[in-house]
Order: sequence, then structure tokens, then C-alpha cells
Amino acid sequence: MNLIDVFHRLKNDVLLTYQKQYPYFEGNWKTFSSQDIQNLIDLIADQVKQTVSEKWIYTHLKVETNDKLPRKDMLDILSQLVGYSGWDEYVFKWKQEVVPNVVQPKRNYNVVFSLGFIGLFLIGFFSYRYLKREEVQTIEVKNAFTEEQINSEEVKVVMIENNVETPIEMVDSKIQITTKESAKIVLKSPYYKDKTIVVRKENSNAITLQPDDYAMMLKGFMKSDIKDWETRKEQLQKILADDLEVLVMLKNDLGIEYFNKQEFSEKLIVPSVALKRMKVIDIQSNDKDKIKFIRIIQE
Amino acid sequence: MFLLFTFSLFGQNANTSASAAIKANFTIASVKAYQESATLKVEDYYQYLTLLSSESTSETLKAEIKTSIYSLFESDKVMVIDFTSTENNAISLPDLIEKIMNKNYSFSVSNYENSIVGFDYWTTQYQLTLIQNDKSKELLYFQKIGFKPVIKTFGSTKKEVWTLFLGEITLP
Repeated sequence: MNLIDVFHRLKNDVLLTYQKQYPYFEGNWKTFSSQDIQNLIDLIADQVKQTVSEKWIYTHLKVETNDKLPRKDMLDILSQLVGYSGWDEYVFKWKQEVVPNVVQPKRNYNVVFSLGFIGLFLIGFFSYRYLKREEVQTIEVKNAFTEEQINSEEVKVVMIENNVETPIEMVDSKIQITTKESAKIVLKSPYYKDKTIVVRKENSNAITLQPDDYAMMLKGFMKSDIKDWETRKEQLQKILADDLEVLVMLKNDLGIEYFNKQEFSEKLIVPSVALKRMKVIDIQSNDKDKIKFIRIIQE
Repeated sequence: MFLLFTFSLFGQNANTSASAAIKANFTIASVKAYQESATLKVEDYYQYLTLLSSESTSETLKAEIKTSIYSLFESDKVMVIDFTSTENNAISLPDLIEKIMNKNYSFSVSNYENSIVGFDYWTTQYQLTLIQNDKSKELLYFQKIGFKPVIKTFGSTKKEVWTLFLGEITLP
């Protein structure tokens, strides 16, 4: 914006000053009549004590566009009419008003640019987090043969990440894991064969555990009543190794009792009070799949 | 004979069978844990007697139950109380077993109290409620509980392990 533009603003201010004196005037310089010109000449004479010709007004104010700036003394007269000491002050005041208005758009551009940059950054950041997000996966654990749920107390689950084992609780035959890409899960149970799997983010199929037949039979025997004791006795001979070692860990791990095959079989053949207080936590088998070791907690 | 010594676990500090004193090998807390486990053997004993005295129990099962009873005791010849008579005389375990056959007794045990621990035993006091033909009788018994290292056979392997046994039963 140059001084011509400032002059146009001054012309507008002259009109506003005129309107204050002649409120009924609602037009612009194009509709500014000869009477209005005369009134303005009188107003300038009255307010500024200067004289402006009708021709000058027609030449510089009535025209719609101005190709060049009028003389400085005429600009001083008009500036004084609108309340300034002269053209210089008018220009100075104008710059004070206008510069912020000119700079403001630049600042707005900066703000818009900054906001845009922040927006792009946030989109990128959240996209990265989304792609690298830790998802909570719920995975069901089932009996591989019956497809039935597994007693949560009978399975121990650990997640291995960076050689660190983290226990995972199994509830209602389901486990919940939080993983980024994949996780190594190890499931151990006295009644099922151990299983190690790698769970991937996009794959959360049910985990199936293969029952250990002899361990399952033992589990059934431990819950039996006296009925079918002869069959039980016969089958115990088959599923228990001759060198069976049974460790019964007493309350709070304060002691341990050892039973051999004969002693432990007797407890199962004729179910006892003590048997009902036993919880199997580990079963190991020999190369013939016979049970050779049982670890029990006495509850 | 190849022996494995397993006394390093869970408060078992004995290295040889020569050091068989309970107090020398176990903490007070450990002894209490074994005493609690011993009460389960007392309850097993009376549950076996209930089955043994039942008319509905087959002879083959009775033979099996007898084996289970004798496994609980250190000796087959241990003396117990003849609760079938009013005199409450001492009687050998095999004789008591024969006397209760088909008599339909049932038992419940409560209020266990353990005495000071001896070299290789302690005594448990308990209240025995005996029911026969809808009549009940309450008796207060003392029973010796043995706890000592014993060589057990695990197939071809032998190990010396601390073992709980039921012992003789006496009146207060």
C-alpha cells in the first residue's frame, strides 16, 4: 500500500467529517453534488481557515481514482480538517494503524503454518502409535480333544519377552496378553502336555492343549469315591511307574512327605481324608508315558 | 545299597540317620506343619475303621482297607484302646480290627492338641466321637505319632526320608 492509498483513506475521512456536519449526506464522492462541494469549501474555511477551490475538489476529490498525490499543502489542509496537524501526522498515524493490520496477516500465516505443522506431527505421531500400539488380546484355552474349557487353576501361563518371564492369569479358560507385534507364551499343566506358542497381533486363535491321558486318569482317581476301587487299583498299576516318587508339600512349604507307588496307590484305592486335601501341581512321566513323579500341595 | 539323602529340603537339615532327633532337624514351624499333617492320618485311620466295620463293605475291599490301615502305623502289633467294650482296655490293632467287623461304627475326631515333642515322636490328644446304632459315645484319647528317618523304596532306588507314623493309643 502506497501514499496514494493513504490519500484515498484521507478522502474517505473527509467525507466522514463532512457527514458529521451534514448528517443528511449519505452518498460518496461520486454523488458529491456541487452544493456539497460548496458546503465542504465553507467547512474547510471555517475549521481549518484555509481556502480550497471548487476545481481542486473536482480534480482531486470527486474523481474515483487518483493517479498522483496532490500537493503537500492541500494534503495538510485536508488532514487538518479530519483532526490531524498535517499530512505527515496523518500518514504516521495511518502507519501505526495499518502496520499491525499488514503484519497481522503474516502472523496469521505463521499461526496457520504452525497449526498445520502441529496437526501433521500429531497425525504422524498417532499413526505411529497406532501401528506400534500394544493391543490387549483375549485368547481362549481349550482342550484339544473335547474343545471344552480348561480349569484355570490347572494351567500356569507365562509370557516370555526378552528372556523375562511374566506370569499371566487365566480366568474362565481365557488369557489376556498385551503385545506389540508378537509374544511367546508358555503353558504348563500337570494334566496337559506343555505348549509353547508365538501369539501374533493379527492372530489370536484359541490355544488348544493336548491332555496327558495318564495324568487325566490320575486326576479322575483322586476325585473318586470308593466305587470301582478294583478297576482303579488295576489301572493305577498301569499308569504309575514302579519308581514313582510322590512329594506332598505341607502347608506354607514347611515340610514335605514322600510316598512311593504302593503308599500312594493305597491312598487312591481307598479314598481318604488326606487325599481330598491334595492338589497336584506337577506330574512328570517317563519314556513309557508312565507317571514317575508327582508333586502335590497339601491344602 | 544306594542311599539318597533328601534332608536339605523344607527345614530338613539332617545329613545322616544318626541325627534323628526331631528338634535337631526341624524348626518349630516345620514341626507344627508335620503335626497338622499327622492329624490327617488320624482321620484317615478312623475313616478306614468306619469302612471296615460296615456290613456293606465287601471282603475284598476289607482286605484292601486293612492294608491301608497298617500302612499308617509303624507296627502291626501296636496297642490301641478297645472302644467296643466298656472297660476301654488296651488291645492290639489286629484284634480291634477283627472286633469291629460288621458292627457299623462311624467316627469323628476333633479337638486335637499336641504334646511336647520327644526325640522321635510326639503325642496327640483328641476327642473321638463313636456312633453305633444311633448311640454316640465320646472318648478322649492320646495317640503317639512317630516321626523319624526311614529308608523307603522307590522302584530300584532307595531314599532315606522323614516319615510320619501312627503309634499306640492310650487313655489320659
